[in-house]
Amino acid sequence: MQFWFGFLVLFCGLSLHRIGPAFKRSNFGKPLILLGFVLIFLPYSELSSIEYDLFIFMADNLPWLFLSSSGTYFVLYGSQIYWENINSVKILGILLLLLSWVYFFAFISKSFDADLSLIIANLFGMLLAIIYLIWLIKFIESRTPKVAESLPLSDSEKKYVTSILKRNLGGNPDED
Amino acid sequence: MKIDDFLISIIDGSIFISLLFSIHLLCSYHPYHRIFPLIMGNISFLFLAIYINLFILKPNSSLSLILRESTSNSIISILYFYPFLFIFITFVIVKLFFRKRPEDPLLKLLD
Repeated sequence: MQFWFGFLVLFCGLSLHRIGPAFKRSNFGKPLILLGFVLIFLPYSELSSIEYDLFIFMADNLPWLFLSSSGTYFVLYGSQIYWENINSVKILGILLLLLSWVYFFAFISKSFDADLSLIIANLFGMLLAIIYLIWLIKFIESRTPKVAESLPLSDSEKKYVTSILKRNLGGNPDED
Repeated sequence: MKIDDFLISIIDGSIFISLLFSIHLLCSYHPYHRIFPLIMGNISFLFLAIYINLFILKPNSSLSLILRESTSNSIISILYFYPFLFIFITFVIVKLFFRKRPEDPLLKLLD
């Protein structure tokens, strides 16, 4: 029960994290993701065969996934926008990526012995569901009644917006 | 290997994505979101998938077992697929690492 509750918390955390900073509940995203991982990887009781197989496979893959995702994060973090690179962080990221591949080929690749046709069938099922959901979203959005056109800005609103733009673009806010 | 195993695998993947989407819809609710038709469409898809799995392909199974197996098999499939995806990610990241600042005539004017 704790194992599956951990997954529920993890998926809730991912969804909350994805809704962005405009919603204050997105702040709960990262703590929930962390809590989900703790609940999954610190099992409280004996796991049944389905959960045990999944747990073992995930635990085997965890170091590799951690190395690869942290390597990717460091390279992205080091390659900041406006071309200001942090080369030491980027090099660390590339080293982690390299290490993750070494770890994968040394320890993980041998355990990838399941029937690939079933894996592909499973991924195909996920793809079908995603296609259906995209169609559903498009269909519902196409049926959404259009909101009436908003009224033009009043004089005081125009003055306010102009002052904000001038302030941010370096103009004189007192002009006009 | 029977055709049933393939069908069960396909439906397992669909159930997993449908469950994830339900969680996502509930967690990302906001007042400007028309959530009700999406939930109805998603739940009918989920029920159809569970119905096929529970009453046609695996009549001796239970709802709890089907949901647990679907989630477990799908996560394992994603982990199997991840190395192939990560080849692409590594390629993009290495390209990003060696990227140089492009020549910009406007920026030269600043010097």
